[in-house]
Amino acid sequence: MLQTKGEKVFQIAAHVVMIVETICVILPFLLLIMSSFTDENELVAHGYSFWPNKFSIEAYKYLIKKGTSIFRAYGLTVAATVIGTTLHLLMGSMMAFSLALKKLPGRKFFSFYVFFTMLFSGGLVPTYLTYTNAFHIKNTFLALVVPYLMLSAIHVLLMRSFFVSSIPDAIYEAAEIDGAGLLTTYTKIVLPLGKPILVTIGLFAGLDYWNDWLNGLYFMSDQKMYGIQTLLYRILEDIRTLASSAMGSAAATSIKIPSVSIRMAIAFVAIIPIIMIYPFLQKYFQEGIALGAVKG
Amino acid sequence: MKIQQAESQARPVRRVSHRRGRSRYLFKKWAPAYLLMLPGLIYFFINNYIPMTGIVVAFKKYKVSTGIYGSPWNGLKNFEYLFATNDAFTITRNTLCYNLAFILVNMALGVLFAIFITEIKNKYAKKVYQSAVLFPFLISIIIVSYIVFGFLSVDNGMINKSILSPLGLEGVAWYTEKKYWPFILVFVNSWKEVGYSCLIYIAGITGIDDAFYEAAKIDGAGKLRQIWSITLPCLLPTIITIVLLNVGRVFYSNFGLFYQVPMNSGSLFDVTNTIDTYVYRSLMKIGNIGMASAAGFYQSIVGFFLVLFSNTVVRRISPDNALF
Amino acid sequence: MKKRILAILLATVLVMAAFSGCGSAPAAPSQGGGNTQTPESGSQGGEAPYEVTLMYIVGGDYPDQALVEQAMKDLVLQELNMKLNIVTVPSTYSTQLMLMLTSGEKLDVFPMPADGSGPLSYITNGYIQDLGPLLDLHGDKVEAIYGEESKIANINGFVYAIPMNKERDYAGGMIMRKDILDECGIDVGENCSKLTKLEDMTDIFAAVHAKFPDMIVFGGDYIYTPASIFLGRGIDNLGNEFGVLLDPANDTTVSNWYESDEYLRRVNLMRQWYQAGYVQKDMATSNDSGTTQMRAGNLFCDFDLTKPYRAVEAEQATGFPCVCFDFDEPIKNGCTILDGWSIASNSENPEKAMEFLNWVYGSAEFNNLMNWGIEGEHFVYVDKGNSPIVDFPEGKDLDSVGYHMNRGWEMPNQYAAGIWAGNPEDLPEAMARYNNNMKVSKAYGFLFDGAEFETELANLNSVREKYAYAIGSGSVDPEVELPKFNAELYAAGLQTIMDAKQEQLDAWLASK
Repeated sequence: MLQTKGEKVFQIAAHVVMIVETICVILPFLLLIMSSFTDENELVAHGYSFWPNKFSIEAYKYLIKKGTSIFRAYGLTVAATVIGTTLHLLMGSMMAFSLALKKLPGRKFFSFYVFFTMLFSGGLVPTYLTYTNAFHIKNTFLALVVPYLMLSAIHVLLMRSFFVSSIPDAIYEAAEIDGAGLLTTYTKIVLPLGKPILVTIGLFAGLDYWNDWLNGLYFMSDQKMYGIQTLLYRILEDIRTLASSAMGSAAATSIKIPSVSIRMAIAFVAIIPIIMIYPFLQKYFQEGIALGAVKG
Repeated sequence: MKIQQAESQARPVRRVSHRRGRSRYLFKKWAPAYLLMLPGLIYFFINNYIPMTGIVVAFKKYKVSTGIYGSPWNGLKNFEYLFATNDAFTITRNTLCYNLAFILVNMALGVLFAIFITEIKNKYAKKVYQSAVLFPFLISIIIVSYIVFGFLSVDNGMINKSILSPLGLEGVAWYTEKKYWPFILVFVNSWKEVGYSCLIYIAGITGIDDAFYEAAKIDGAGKLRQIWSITLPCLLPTIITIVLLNVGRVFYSNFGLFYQVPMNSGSLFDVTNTIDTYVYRSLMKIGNIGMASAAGFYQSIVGFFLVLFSNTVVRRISPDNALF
Repeated sequence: MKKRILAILLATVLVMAAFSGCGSAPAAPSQGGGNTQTPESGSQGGEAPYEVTLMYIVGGDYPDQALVEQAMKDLVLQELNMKLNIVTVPSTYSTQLMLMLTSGEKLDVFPMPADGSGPLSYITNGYIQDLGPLLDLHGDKVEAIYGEESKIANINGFVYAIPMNKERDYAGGMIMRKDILDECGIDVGENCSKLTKLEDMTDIFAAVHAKFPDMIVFGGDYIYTPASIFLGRGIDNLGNEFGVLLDPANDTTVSNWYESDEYLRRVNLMRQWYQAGYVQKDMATSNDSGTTQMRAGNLFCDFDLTKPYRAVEAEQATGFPCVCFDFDEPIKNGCTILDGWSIASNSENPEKAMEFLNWVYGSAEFNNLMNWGIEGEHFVYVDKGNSPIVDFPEGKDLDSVGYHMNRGWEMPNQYAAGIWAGNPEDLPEAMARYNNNMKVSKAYGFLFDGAEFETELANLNSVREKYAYAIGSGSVDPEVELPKFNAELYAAGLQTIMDAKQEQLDAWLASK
């Protein structure tokens, strides 16, 4: 393939900028991982470093020892993430599709209805009252899936904006002329063509589910129903309380809680699965891009 | 343009049809669209609109025995603490200015990175860059604050210990020096958040019809020219959507960013105190639901009017891109 | 157009419907709670057992949690003929508690969190029952422990909680590593008897700094310096630190702590230490407790709240021999009774709840269960004397035992339970002696009712956060910052609060 000089310069510039950005990201990340493997005392005395003088896996040992239910929590979070993300994408794309129909009567009102939820919120207490008193989801699996996360106005509007700008009106018109109903247009045209945005939003929704710890904290009083983030948060809080309060008795002597390195270990444990899954997801990304490009 | 033509052509046809027949036709045509929207509408109703009525507590003197709706009215008393001292100006200024900076910087960097990533030809490099942009998004802001502390700590920080002191420079007391923080906060925010908008822009760019680029190439347009006349205009609706969405939240701030990252350092409050951190610090020992709700109401109502205004402006210029 | 209006109308109607439906939901149960307060609900034999719901803090993920809970339930059913429900919460739980209280969920007895918004908000929000009348009905066990002070945790006569059984003042102390002192050849005497005032630390710091230049001489969590903490200090802060009694044993004039000579003295000392390089440079923002840092081996001294045998505790927690210099004289005052065990207004039968709570304060078995688990399974009695000593069962240790909380400070009555082996045997007596012998603030039993001053208090809290830690750690110049601090405090309404406090205190003193 022929490359003009301008093209070459552009490629080089792009690489340079992105390499700088990548370094900016990798360094702190490396710091996080290294410090989770650093000896606790080393960390407190000399701070975080990229290459610690003394390695230790004490933090991870402690996590495994204290978090007997870590695997159950992972399971719950995975289930909530998969189910929640699917529902999120389904409901969101259906809604975004309808709102993207330029001639839909009441389009403006419904768009506003969606957007308005972003602006005003009654706060935690009324939401909690609604879900626990009217829907009784406390201590049920639904509590990990439904509140806050099952749909987001931002995502609906972003999808709508994509549908509006990237799917030409001609396609809708052609579909209409072919006698395809709106449902067919949605499933046969909009969903396949919208793959790039669906994958992106799916990623965001998935991450929201994966990273959520508040639903678990507020809507679960049963520890067995905690997702992974809530459990990790809880371990962290318990350690913090133990480390900062004067100990009640001598039994404490035998524990040396790695209260500093454990923060990093916990952060790392929480993202390991994402790091492992991401390459597969990225493949899907590329696929989405290819399909999107074909359509023209 | 096309749509308007299509619309003007379609209209006369409909007008002649019988009134009743027309509405039946319309119903049949649009019913699936409403049906598709229904689950979402219901969800928003339950998750947002029912709890939203709880906002009245901002005007009430709350007691649990009478509940949110039954408690006596309290006028604007719950709002007083927000405006009682000189801090009102500082926190409003900080919240607004930082948000504007974040919107601009994240937009510029997001679009730039998105264009670079989609244009870069090397497939592996592309993957690496794409992951890099996203990764900070995975770390919670509290962990980010520890990482920042790892760099900026006065005693043990990487910058003081490994950069400034080998150069023979004196260490900086980062957490008491105000002047650096506007930059640090903007940097940390972009570092963490740019991936979000960047990925959406990437999706937007992938959605652009390749035919445009082919045509431009035939016309002999260079890379920059293509970006300027095809990529950016096609991306504009997405950019506008993201900016409008952010304008609505312009009175809100990321609590973790402004509280955890500066380590709640009092000396920095002039440049780090925002409405959210101020409310937290004021109310943590008071526990008044009404006062907390009042702050939220104040933030929302300002955002609401700003969005109404900007949306009207957008609608004047390009109706298709307006949010509603 | 018409359609849109219709849609809006419909939505509004729906919202209104939800509005009223939701409004009555949380109100109903608490009204029920109010009604049952009438004394007709006396317990009779043969009645169905009352279901009492207890919230308690569980500081970990214990494999045998369910077993312990079952044992607690069995014990309560057997001794009180009540059915016990247990809600466990993690170490930080103020939000969860608030949600349970506002939503009318079933809850009888809960620990009022020390890190929360304080008892006043629980009273003004109507979350809790007044324990005063209930204690008259079922209070014998509580009275056996606290005597006349059973109802001490009150605001305006509203008894919000029964305090945990622990020390009754948080005095300040400097905890130092004994081995470093020895290496520097410094003799502080038995129990630091050779040290008399805070200034005596300066020479010690200088010596340690000279001998170990790389060591952090003084450090810890940002709240914990002699000048930034808002507890103890030999003063009585009357519930919040804005307007305090500087000499509470003798004088009842409310004055501003941040303008007092004592505060200035401490602040200047901190500044002097900071500039001499003794104080950790990051102190104003540090989140790592002194204990954590000392354990890491690079810290010589930290400030902490003290009580009898504090040095022993420090040794256990840090792994280094420690001494503790108690430079504050303890004064019995209200700051240690801001947390405690309360009864929710959601309680269906507050009398029964009180009966249960009273029983808990007297039950060695129940406190043992909460803190140490099941006898024989998770702990054994080593010595069943006057103050019983307990230890791990044979072959078990901290890692293999299925339940071991060790958070005595959260138990209703940690001294009813066994004392863990390795602690000083006379710990309960020492604690009682400590509490009974300390001076008593003239305002002990009085706490400021700031319900009408929430705007001022909110603003004052915000100002305090801005200055107190920066000044208190010595990292800024008090000569510049302290006047600004006080000016902003007054601008935020300090005088109003001080006047109101004085007025309420005078009325309280007059009524006594």
